[in-house]
Amino acid sequence: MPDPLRAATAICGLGLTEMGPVYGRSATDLATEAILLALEDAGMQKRDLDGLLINAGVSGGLGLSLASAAGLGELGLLNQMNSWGSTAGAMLQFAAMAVHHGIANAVACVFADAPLEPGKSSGSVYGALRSRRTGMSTLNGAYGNFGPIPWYAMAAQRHMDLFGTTQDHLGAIAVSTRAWAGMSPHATLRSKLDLEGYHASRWIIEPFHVLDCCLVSNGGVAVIVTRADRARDLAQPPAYIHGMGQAHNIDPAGLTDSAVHTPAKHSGETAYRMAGATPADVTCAELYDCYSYTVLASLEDYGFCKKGEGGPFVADGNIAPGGALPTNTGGGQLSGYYMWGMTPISEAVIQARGQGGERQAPNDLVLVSGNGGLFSHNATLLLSPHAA
Amino acid sequence: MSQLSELLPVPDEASRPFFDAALEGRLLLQRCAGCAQAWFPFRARCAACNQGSLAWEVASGKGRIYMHGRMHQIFHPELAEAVPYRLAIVELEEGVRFLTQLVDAEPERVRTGAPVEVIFERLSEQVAIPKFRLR
Ligand SMILES: [Zn+2]
Repeated sequence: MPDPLRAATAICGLGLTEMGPVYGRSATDLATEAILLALEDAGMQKRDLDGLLINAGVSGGLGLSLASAAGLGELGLLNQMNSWGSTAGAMLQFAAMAVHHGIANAVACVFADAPLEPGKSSGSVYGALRSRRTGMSTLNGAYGNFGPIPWYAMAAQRHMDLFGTTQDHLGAIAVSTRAWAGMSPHATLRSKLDLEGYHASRWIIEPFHVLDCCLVSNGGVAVIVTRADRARDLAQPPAYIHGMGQAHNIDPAGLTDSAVHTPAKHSGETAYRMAGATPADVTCAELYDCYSYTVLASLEDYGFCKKGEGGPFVADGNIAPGGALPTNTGGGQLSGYYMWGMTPISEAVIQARGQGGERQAPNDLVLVSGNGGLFSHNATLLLSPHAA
Repeated sequence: MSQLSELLPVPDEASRPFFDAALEGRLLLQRCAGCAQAWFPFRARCAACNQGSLAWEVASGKGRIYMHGRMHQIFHPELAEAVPYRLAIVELEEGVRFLTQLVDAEPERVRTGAPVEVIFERLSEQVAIPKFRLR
């Protein structure tokens, strides 16, 4: 018997604000606009919304008070959630379970952030996220270890040392993602990029060039989740949620090899099981790309190729336009926009609806991932235009 | 002595034994008296057995590179002269991982799995920190 949650719920609304160096607007204001845009997109009224889940970024200020700032009425579901880059995917899962069981009828899930300020470098925004100023954590400054970039770069280097993955392989991801971005009106970086241009870009920390690292963006994204039968009566083609899964690698002693074997494997298996699907059924993938390497590791852990073979898989053009597994078709976070887990989700909704225009990929089954916390947290969704 | 001032580590009460030992050239970790699990960084309660008192122990200072990378970006002006430098996570023989900087690291020998040992770098009168070199 199929899982009762398979295709029982759908994404019926999508709202994207302007994104990038958009100055002078608070995260709360951007979140409010994203919710209103999602309602309009769905053909719904504000009174139709009775649930709100919130994912705040790094700039602060976004919290439960968003519900009153946006002027929502009585809600059946309201919370602020955090599991870093996997939050958005997790919010949609909780929303789906809530609407399936009648706790709410329509739940908006929103991410918004405004960390960029005029004259402030995007590197400094996240690099400055340093912990308290006394104790063991102050060793990080003395070692020159700032933000999440070093950990992910070192993880990529470990993959290279273990499996022979090359700089060209990482570059193939940056180049392919940029090629997709060139076809997306939402993407920030749309100019042509080849491997030569990738290699010429400056180092941040080897093996990462600046083009291996995501953008930093101001903006907001909201999606609305409702029951499948309700979604069919609304304005947009439903993006049915066929599968969902999470995995959280809790490793206090630092004993697992999560730099190479990420929680995407467990999370993906749960989602495939619910959907009754296998990796071979996935026609298009939107993978969380805070760095090029997270795409490579995710492709392996979701079963699109064997562990260690992600490099040749991307170098063969599989994830690029015209490839067997179109991946990050909106330009991802490397070239598109950095809205944490809402970047892959928003593009997956566009693809599942068949609204990708020039960049439309085969959309029978779209895999969406979110990961965060140095490969500690992962959420997977499988979306489809098919009602069963 | 280094040029670090803003980036100079500041011990607190909990980390004082670690920094005091580092001044004397010893690398400390914690071990649970109940289940023998080694811990770094330090904690108030063993996360394996959730009981047992944690005692300081002098580590071997020997381990292997778990992963590594070469930093070029100047994240802080006090590191302008230091770039490029090599960061690494080292897995000690005791089975704990330690984020650190590699010194005297010949590029062709720096690899995942390469054997390393601790050295101590004096940053000020009060502070020394463990770094690692290939052995
Ligand atoms: Zn114990």
